Amino acid sequence: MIPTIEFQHRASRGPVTAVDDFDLELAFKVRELVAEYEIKYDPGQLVVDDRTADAIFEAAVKHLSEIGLYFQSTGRVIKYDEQEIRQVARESQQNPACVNLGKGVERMQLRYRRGSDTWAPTNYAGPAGVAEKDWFIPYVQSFAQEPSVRGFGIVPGLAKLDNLDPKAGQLSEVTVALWEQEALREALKRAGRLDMNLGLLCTASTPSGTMAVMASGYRDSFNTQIGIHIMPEQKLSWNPLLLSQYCELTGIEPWQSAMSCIGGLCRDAADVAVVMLANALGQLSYAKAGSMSYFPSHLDGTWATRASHWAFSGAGRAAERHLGLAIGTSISGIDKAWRTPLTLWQSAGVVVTSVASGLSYAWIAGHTGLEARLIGQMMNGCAGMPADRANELAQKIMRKVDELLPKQGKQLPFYEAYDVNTVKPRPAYEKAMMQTCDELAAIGMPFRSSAVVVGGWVVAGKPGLTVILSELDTLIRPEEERRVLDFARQVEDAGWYGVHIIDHVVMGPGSARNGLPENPRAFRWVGNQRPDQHMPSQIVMMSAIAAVTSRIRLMATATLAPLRPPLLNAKQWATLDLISGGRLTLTPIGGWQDEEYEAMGVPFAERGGRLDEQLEIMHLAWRETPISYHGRYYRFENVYVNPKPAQAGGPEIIIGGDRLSARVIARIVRYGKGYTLTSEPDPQDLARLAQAMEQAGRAMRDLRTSGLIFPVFPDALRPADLARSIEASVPPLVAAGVHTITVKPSQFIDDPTEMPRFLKECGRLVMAYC
Amino acid sequence: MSVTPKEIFEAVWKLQKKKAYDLVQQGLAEGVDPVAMLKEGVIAGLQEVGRRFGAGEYFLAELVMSGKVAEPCIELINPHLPPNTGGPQGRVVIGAVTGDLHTIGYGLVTTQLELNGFEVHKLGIDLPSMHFIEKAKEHKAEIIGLSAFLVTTIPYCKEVVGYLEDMGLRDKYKVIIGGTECTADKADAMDVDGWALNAVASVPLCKHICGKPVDEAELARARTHDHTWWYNSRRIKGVAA
Repeated sequence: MIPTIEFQHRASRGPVTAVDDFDLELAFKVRELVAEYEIKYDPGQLVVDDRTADAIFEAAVKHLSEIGLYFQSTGRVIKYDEQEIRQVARESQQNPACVNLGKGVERMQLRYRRGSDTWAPTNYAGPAGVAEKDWFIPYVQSFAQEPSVRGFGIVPGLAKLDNLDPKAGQLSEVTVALWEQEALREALKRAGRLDMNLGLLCTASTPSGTMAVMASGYRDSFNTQIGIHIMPEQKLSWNPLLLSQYCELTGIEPWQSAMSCIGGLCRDAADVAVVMLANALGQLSYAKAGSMSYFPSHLDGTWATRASHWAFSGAGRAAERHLGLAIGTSISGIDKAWRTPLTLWQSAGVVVTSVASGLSYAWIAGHTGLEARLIGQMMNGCAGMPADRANELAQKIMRKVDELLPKQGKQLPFYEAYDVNTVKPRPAYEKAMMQTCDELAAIGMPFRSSAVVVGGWVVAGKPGLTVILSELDTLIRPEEERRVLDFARQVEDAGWYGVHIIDHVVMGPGSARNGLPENPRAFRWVGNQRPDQHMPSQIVMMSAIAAVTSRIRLMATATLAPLRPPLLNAKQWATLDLISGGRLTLTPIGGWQDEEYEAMGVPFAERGGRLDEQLEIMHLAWRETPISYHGRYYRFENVYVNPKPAQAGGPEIIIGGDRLSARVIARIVRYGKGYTLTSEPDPQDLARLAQAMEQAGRAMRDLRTSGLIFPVFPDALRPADLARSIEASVPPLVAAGVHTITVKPSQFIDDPTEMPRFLKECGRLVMAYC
Repeated sequence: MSVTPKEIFEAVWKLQKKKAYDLVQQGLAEGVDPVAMLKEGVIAGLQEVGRRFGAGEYFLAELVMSGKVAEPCIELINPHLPPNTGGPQGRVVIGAVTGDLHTIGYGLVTTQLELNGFEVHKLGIDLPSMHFIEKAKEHKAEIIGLSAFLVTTIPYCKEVVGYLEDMGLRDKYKVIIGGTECTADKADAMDVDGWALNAVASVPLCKHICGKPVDEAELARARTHDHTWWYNSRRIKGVAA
C-alpha cells in the first residue's frame, strides 16, 4: 500500500489529460495487452484455467503501470511504476484476507478463498436497490430472519422520505440516512439479530454525509463498510481517498469494488477481466482492505451473461492466484426481472461459475430472504465442485436463461412477493421459486440446505461465546459482588456475545441433598448446591450490567418465573429489555427446588402449569394493550402493561428444560427462539420437535442451540485445565453447529484479576476449533 | 480525379483521422460540394459507426474515436456551407449533476447524439445545477441533459428544473435525464421533457424534442421499459452474449 498522502502529490503533478484521451488510451492499451498475453474470452469455458488467470494478472499489472488512474478532481493522471504495483500485490498475497464483521454470535468473516475450497462462500445478503418507506423494514427483515444470512453487504436506499429527497452533500443526505439506520435497527430487532453487520452505508455516500452518520452512533467498525472504490473505467477523485483515510483512522473495513463494462471501452469479457483486476490493484494501492467485489456488467446494466461469468472468473482466479483478497460479487440477475424465476436461473449461473472461481462472499442482491436462503443452499452445494463440472452445469443453466430471457416479464415488487405484515413469502411466489429450484435440481444443481449443513452457522461465521457470571463463590467474596460488573465490561471488551445470570430467590436446606461436588468449582446441578451460596437478585444484577455495557447480550438464565406474579415478570423484563436496547434473552423454567417454592408461597406441583400461563401472559403483555386473561392460576381484566420491550414481540425467549417433553416441545414451538436442556436430547424427541415445528410453519434451523464447555479438573483442589476442557467440549459443539458456547470462568481461575487474560485465551482456543 | 463523399465516408467509419481530414481538405480545394461531403461523407460515416456499435462490432472507444475523427472535418467544412444548411439537428449541453462522478453513461449519450448530427457540449461531472443553465445559455442549447446514477444525485435533476422554473426559463429549454436509477416514472414525477432507456434510444428522443422527423416506432421503443430488445440488439447473430 502506498501512503494515502502520496496521492495528494500524484494527483497534483501527474500529466494533464483530457478524459476522452485517457479513455481511448485505456481502451486501446487493453486490446493490445489482451492480444500480447493471448487472453481469449471463451463462452464455452466459463471457469478460466490457470494459464489464462496468470495472463490476466500480468496484463493487469502492465495496464495499470502504463495507463494509471484518471484523477477526475484535477484532470491529471496518477502514475505508477510496475514495481510499486507488484509490491502491492505481494503484500496482499502475503496477508490473506480475514475480515471480521458483526458482533458476538453475528460475527462473520470475509476470508480469502480458492475456487477449489470445499467451504461455502459467506451468504452476505444484500437487499439492494431502492426501497420505499412502507416496505423498507419488512424487506430488510425478510433477509435478516434467514439464519443462513450472515450479514449484509449492502442495504437498500430510500428514494424519498415523505417530501424529502436525499441529496448528496446536503442536509437531506444525512436525514434520510439516519431514518434508514433507525429502520435497519428495527428490522434487525424484529429478526432478533441486532448485532448483524450492515455493510455499505447506502444513502450516505459523500465524506461529510458518511462521517455525520457514523457520528450518530448507529454504525461502528463492527457493522459498517465504507465505499472507497474507483469508478469505472479507472477514474478516481478525492472522495474515495478521503474516505479511505477515514477508514484507516477509524478501523473500518473499506468497501472496495472493481467494475468494468462489457461493450463499453472494453470490448468483451477478456478486456473487462484485465481492467477489473487493474482497477482492484489501483484500490489496493491506497486502501488498507481485504475484500473486493467484482462487478462485470454490460453497458446497459445487463448482468449474469456468459461474458460476465467469464470476466468474473478471469479476474477472480487471477486474484486467487496472485492476491490474498476475499473476492465477492452480486448474485443476481437483471434488475427488471428481480424476484422472478428468470433471475433465480441467472443467479444460479453466477453461483456455479463464481464459487468455482474463488468467490468468498456473495451479495444476494435484489431478491428476498427466501431467495437468499435458496441461493445460499446452492452455494453450499457448489462449494468444492470441480471446474469442469461447474462449467458443464453453468452451460446448462445458460441455455435455460437464453430460453427465458426473451419471455422476460417484469420485476415482481417485494410487497407482491412477501406479505409485508407477516414477512412471509406469498404462496404463488414461493411456489414459483420452489418450482425453479426443482428444475435446477433436475439439471444437476446441488442444493444443500442449512438444516443439513448445520455448519452453515459455523463455517460462515463463528459461534458466539458467553460466560456464566453466577455461583462465583470460588472467585470472589460475597461482599465483592460488584466485581461482576467489571467482569461484564471485560466480557464486552473481549468481543464476546453475552453474560448469563442465574436465578434463585432462596436456597433450602435440601439443595445439597445429593451431595456437594468434589471440586467446588464444578457445575452445580439438582440437589448438589450449597444452601449458603450467594446468589444476587437476577433482575437487579442484570439491570446493573445493562447500565455498564452497551453491546453484550444479557442472558437471564434459568429464571424461575412461577415464583413471581406474571405481570410483574412481564413488566420487569420489558423494562430491562427497553433500557438495554433490546439485549435481553430470557430462559424461563419451572425449577427443581421445592423448598424455594414453599418459601415463596407457590405450590411446587403447579409450577409447570403456572409457567405455561406465565409464558402466555408475557406474550400478551409484550404485544398488546390492554390485556385480559382468564387462566387456571392467573386472572385479570383490561390491564395496561407498559412500556413494551425494545424487541418487537418481546425479549428473545429460550425454553429451558431437563428433556424435550411434550410440554417443553409445545413451549418451544410457540414461544422459543431456541432451547437449552440439562441432558442430551433423545433423537426421537428431536424428531417430535421437528415435526411440531413443521406443523407450526417453523423450521428447526430457526432454533438457536447452545453448548457448555465442561471443565476437566486435574484434581479436586485446583481449577480446571482450560486447553483440555476446550479440546474435549468444543469440537462436538462446533460440529453440531451450536450458536453459542458457554463457559463458566470461575471453573478455570481463582483470581478475579485474571479475567481479561482468561477471556482472551479462552476465545483464542475456542476459535481455533471453529 | 476529385475526392468523393464515399471516400470520406469510408475514412470516417474506419477511424482514419488523418486520411479523413486530408480528403476533406482536398475536396474543398477541388470544389467538391461541401454539403455532400458533410452529409454523405462525415455524417454518414458517423452513422455507420453507430450502426456497427449497435451490431456489437464497434465499442465505446470507437464511438469516442469517431467523434475525434469527425470534429476537425466538420470544422473545416462548416465555413463553406451555404446558410441554413448542414446545421446541427439540435444543440445539447450535458453532464453529471452535483455529487455524481459517473462518466460512461453521459459520455455514451454524447457520442450517440454527435453521431447523429447534434452539437453536444460535454460539461463534466459533479456540476452545480446553475452551471447547466449558464452553459445552455452560452451555447444556445435547446436541450439540457442531466446524468444521475445514484438515488442521492437524482434529486439534483429536479433542482435544475426548479431553477429553470424560478428563472422563467422552463419553456426555453428541454430537460432530459438518464442514469441507472433514472426511470420513466422518475422523469414523469420530475416533470422533465424526456427519458430514454439507453444512449441509442436518446437519439430519437432528442430528435423528437427538437422537432426533427423521427420514426414513431423507434420513438416508442426508446421509451419502453423493456430491456429485451436492447439486450438482443447487442448480440451478434449466432453468438450468445
